Amino acid sequence: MSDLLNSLTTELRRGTLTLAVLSQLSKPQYGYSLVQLLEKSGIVIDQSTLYPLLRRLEKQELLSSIWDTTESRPRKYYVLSDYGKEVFETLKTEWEKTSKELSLLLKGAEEDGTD
Amino acid sequence: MERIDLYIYEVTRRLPENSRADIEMELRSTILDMMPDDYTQDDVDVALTQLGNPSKLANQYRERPNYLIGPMFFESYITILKMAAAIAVLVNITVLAIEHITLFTEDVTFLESSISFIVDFIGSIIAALVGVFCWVTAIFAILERVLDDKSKASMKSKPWKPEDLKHVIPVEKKKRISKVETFIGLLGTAMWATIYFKASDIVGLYETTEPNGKLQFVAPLFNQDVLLSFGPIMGALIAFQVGLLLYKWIVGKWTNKIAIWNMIYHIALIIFTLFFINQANLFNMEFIRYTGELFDVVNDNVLISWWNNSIWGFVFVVIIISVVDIFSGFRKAKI
Repeated sequence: MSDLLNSLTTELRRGTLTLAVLSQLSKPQYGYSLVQLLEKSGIVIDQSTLYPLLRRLEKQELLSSIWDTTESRPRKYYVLSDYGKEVFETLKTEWEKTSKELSLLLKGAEEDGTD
Repeated sequence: MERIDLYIYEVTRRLPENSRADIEMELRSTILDMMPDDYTQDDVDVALTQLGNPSKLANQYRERPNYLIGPMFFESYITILKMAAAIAVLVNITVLAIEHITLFTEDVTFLESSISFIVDFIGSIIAALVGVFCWVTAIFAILERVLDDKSKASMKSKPWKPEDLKHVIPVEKKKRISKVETFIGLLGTAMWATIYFKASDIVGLYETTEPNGKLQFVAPLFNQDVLLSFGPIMGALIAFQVGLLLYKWIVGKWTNKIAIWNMIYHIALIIFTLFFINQANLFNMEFIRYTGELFDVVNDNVLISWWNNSIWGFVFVVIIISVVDIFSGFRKAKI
């Protein structure tokens, strides 16, 4: 039961991960600062998933990156590209629509249950 | 520090050369970010535990599929696998039949040779199927890794539309020509072709020899010269039958056209049989005499008439079988 639940939860979250990451990158962030930002909002993300994901999004030209070498240790900053902003807005609208529809469905199910 | 280096090395050594330096630098700064400035060995362990198994992390970076053949390819993979398997089996049967006909040796009995034929037959088919499976899978696994998503998508079949249904003609079970039927038919053709062309060596009388109880070939039934003079016609008949079997297999069900071809084949077979039987020196006189001795028939006339009766009985059976098959073909086509 709990194994199944785990895999279902992972499945459910996987799709939202990209959206969560994109949402935090209107301002440049480096890997670890992004982890902290996400954790502050309660989103726990496996770090071994996040760093490769950032590179993948960069390869898909949704993000652009720049190395900052002025501080004590060099850090790679990621930020939304113009294309990335566009995709993010569309994805966001799509998500809001889905979540609204789903919450209606879930509410309906709840009411059915109490009747 | 040393542990961090080892960890990074464990990750980057699994990555392509051109991305190594960048990932190494990013990973190092990330690990340092995860720890306080005056970190201890324990802090390092905590940070590395969070990043997890280096080979898994490298896998994520590499984005190489962790499956052999992905969903984009699977359908075409299965289709090609089936086609290749069918072709391989056909080619194998043909080659094997020719081999058995040409390489037949006289010192084995007919029973031994049929057993070896069937064993070879099954063995070579299994070998062919395993070979096809390995090659097709290997080629698709390579394509899966070499091609990008766009070219993969172009290999997918067209999206399905309801209109596609009009190409589907449901086949009733009674009308269907099964693969097993074709398979047995081909096996049968291969066997009787072998028997025909090697008849002087295998069809005839056998006797158990005393010392070892082994079967010994005593007298052939047919005169080989006559058999060989019929060789070309026989070859044409075999080709006809193989062609018909394959055609039936491709169409997959009985149609009027197939029933007509089936009739033509049987008529040709009957005509051939009649001609064949009426050849003057078809049978080996030695064989006939031998059977006479066996059944204590001394009178040659009685022997000949007895012999003729059995031959015509045989021809009659052949004709009956053919007629039944012709009619059942038309009946199935009509359903």
